[in-house]
Amino acid sequence: MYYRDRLALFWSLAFPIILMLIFGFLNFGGDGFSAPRLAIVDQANNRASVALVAGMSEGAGAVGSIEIEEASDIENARSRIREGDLDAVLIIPDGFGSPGTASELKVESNADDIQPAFVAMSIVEDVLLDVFIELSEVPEQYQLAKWANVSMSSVPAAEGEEAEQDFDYTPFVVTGIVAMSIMQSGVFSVAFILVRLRNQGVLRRFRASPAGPAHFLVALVITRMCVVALQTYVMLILASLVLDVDVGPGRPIAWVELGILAVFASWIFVALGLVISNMAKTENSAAPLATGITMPMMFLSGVFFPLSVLPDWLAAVTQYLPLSFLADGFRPIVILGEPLWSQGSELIGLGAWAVVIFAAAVRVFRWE
Amino acid sequence: MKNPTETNGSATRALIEARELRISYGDLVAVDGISFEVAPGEVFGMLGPNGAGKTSTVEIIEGLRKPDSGDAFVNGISVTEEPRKVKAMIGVQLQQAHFFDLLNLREIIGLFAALYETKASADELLDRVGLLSKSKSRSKELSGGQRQRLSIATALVNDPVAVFLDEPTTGLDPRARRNVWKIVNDISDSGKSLVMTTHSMEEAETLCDRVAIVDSGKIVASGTPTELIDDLAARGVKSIKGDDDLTLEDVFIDLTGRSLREGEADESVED
Repeated sequence: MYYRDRLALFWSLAFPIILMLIFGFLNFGGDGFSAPRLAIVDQANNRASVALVAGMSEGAGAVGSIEIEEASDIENARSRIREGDLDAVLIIPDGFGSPGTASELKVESNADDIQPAFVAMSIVEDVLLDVFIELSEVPEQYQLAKWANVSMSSVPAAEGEEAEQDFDYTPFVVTGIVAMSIMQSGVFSVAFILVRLRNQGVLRRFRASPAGPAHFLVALVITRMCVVALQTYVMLILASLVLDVDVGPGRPIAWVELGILAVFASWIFVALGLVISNMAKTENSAAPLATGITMPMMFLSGVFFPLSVLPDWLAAVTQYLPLSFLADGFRPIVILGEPLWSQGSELIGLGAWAVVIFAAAVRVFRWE
Repeated sequence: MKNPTETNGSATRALIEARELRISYGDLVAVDGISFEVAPGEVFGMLGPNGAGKTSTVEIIEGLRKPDSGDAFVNGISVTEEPRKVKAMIGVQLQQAHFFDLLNLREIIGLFAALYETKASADELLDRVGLLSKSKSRSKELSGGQRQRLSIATALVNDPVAVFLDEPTTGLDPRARRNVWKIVNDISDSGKSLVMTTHSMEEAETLCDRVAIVDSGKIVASGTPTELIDDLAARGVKSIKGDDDLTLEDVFIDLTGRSLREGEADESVED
């Protein structure tokens, strides 16, 4: 019967798939859109270093592939890299350019996004040679290594806090949308139909039968949960085939775990749909109610963009939304290949929501 | 003994018995001590205006509402104590019959057969209500009369001992109404008891063996249509239409002091 409800099928399956493909292909995360941003921290501040910075800026302008700024505080630059405001930092150590000592120049970037660091490295190496030639007036390349080296490393984890997991955008948004589609199809597949059946007296007619409507309700919920699981698999398979998302790298069992998580989470959202169906008197009032509850979650739960782009006070609240738990639970399994059981806090969060919403659904449920 | 189900030796044991039913919604007393009995095979009509308490009474017997006091029995089984047993024995057609829009008629009958845990033949039931040719149509494509007949078909899936019809012809045009009447007669001929509510005099006179006139939650008179009219004639009451033929309408006006249709909203007529 659900299969015949074409409109519901579209909204619960086709719509998230279209969204997933759009966001997956467009890759709004930035790599393709803006040039990498490099900050230069000049600790030496001498003739050699100033020449290097100037050369870098000119070189960058010519190449047009990198944005350069000067910064004074290494830690500040590092934390900006961790937050994604900056892609890499070049550190020119004190004593750079002093005759007889080989200085160690460092380019630091995020461990899982080293492309900007490579770009910075190649520019540094080019410019370094020019500066060396200009300053030393000894045009012998083989001595360059004795004068300065460039090394690349990742930004050290911030002290006292865990390094934030930073994912590539495509798998990030794809898993977010899979989580969102679980919410959408859970809520929308029960809210409207129950309002309609209640208003049409169909539930009442079921009550007049010896089986009673509870059988029907259980069947409805189970069907929806199966639909959600199926839909999750369709989306994940598409993501891996079309968008090259490596689902649960190296762990085929991840597919089973994701199914379990999807079905478990679908229960929360189906129950939320039940609650909505009891708050709404008519189908027309169910629509804005369902949208009003799911829409904010869509944008505040880190589906399309990480929670870190939200103001801190807002993220502090929205990280407890059921969709946040679901998206955060999904991502490490899909992207990093972590096991389901290591997502402790997310599972606890989802479990708490399951209990709360189920209790609410039982409390407010009306047959007529 | 002619009838093996008779245990107490009385001439006819009631198949359905309502005993002092009472129910109120807030301050409104909807059913105020209604009692009646329906014999096996009998067609019993509850006649009265909207809001008289007919539907509430029927819904108590159907197990859809709990009475504040009183009890109803079907085949001797209490509906307040064993509602599921009663529900399994009876067939029910409710007002405003709607079904899953996306299922076809055969599937709807199949669904109800599952709910009643029986294996009814969908085609046979649809044939009984004249909808066999529509068995592959979806319920939303049906007219009001056809939907009402489908509703009656779902009331027959469990081969019930008694069928309850709540205003089965309200809002139907004369042709659709006659189709429903024919089905009611067929059900009655098959030996099942019927309890129906109506506010159509003509319907009550045509279909019912016995009628209870309900007003403000009470039965104000009951008997066969002929008995009720004869009783009125014996008291010398004249028909309001001025002719000599008294009808149930006159009985009702005599008992309640107002017309049955008075104050009712115009009913939309649909096919």
